[in-house]
Amino acid sequence: MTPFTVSSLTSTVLRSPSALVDHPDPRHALATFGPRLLAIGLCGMALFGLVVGSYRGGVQNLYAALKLPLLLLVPVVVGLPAVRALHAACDVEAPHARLALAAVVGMARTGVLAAACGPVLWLLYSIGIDYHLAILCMAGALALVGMPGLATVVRSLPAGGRHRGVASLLSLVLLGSIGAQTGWLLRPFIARPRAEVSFIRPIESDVFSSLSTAFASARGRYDGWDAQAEGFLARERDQEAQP
Amino acid sequence: MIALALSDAPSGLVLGLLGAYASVGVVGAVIATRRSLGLATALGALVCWPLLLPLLGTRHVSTGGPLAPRIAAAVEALCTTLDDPAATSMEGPEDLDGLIAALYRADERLAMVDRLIASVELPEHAPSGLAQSLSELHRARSTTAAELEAVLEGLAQLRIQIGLRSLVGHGVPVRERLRDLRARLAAVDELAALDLRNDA
Repeated sequence: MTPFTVSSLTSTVLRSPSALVDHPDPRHALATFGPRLLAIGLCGMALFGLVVGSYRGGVQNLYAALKLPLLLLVPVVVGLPAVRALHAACDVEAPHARLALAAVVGMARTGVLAAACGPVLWLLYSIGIDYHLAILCMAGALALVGMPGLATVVRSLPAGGRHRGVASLLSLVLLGSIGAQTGWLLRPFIARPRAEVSFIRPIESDVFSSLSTAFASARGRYDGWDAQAEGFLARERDQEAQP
Repeated sequence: MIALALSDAPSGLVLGLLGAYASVGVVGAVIATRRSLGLATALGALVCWPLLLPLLGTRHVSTGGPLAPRIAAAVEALCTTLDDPAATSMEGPEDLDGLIAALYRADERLAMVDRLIASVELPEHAPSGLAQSLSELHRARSTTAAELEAVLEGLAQLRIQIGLRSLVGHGVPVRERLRDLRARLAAVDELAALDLRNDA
């Protein structure tokens, strides 16, 4: 089966990604379908970004549409060589072309599913849900659409090897960590309705210390990492505004 | 706003890393263009070169031919055998790379001829010259396809000889066999030309 049009490629990515991943010549498949699959994935995430940005509206639509594709791309680009090395250490030799093809198919799958999730999220945002709930909905949707893409990559790895489960688990942790930190660096995706809109916030600590502080706050301890005010350079502006 | 955000970041390291990434991307895009992988692949390599690295390596990438899947399967099987730690190491990997590239090139020529044949429609009272030329093209295509099939069979035999060499020793002429296959493939054009001359 050789799907050529974007619509048939999208359909294949959703219904039977293995038809692409198990292509007898992965290099040829990557050369033929790779760019289109990348475009499908990134466009899907950009659409999802448009919806996410609509919570604040205005220029945040554009910012989120630009940043969400990076959230899909960066963890794969940065983490894939490490995933391959982890599996090689466990005697699971994954050909680079096959793994790259699976990653591109997985990204396309995630992108298409994210775009499909868009209307539901838009509906939720349009009824004016709480800011924190909006973030949770976005994170939940991303986790939901990310799973099938991740499964595509994991299934592409050849059988056998020693401690294969450990390598797969470590790969998931690695990709998850890179994804979380990428999201942290690229935030805000959802801006508060009355906040200053900014493309990215200044670099502040990392996602793990933030989670640790949030966990402590949930237990009633309000000390530790201090988040800057919303918006780019907002803290400095606030300080200047104070008498 | 983006510039403002970047100006607040640790500029030296971040900009250096971004510059290095973009530079490698530009190199990848140039390689993709030189290998005729298409504009889309070149643009993809510019941004996501780590994902498209397999296309920028040394091996030739087929753009699709009638025997491409069989060639890929045969090459993959041979590479798996060669990579086996128990297999005796074989000298001259450049011979293998050359053979693979020649196989894909011949396959692409077959694909081009197939497209050409499909596009030519002979009218009912076509001039005999046109019909004869088309018939010659069909015959040349058959000759090339048969030679390609023979080389693929030769690759399968080569795997067996590698196994034999691992057991028996260096008396088995694996490298010579590989060169024979490459020479046979190089002669495909000459054979087709000879065939045409004989018919004429």
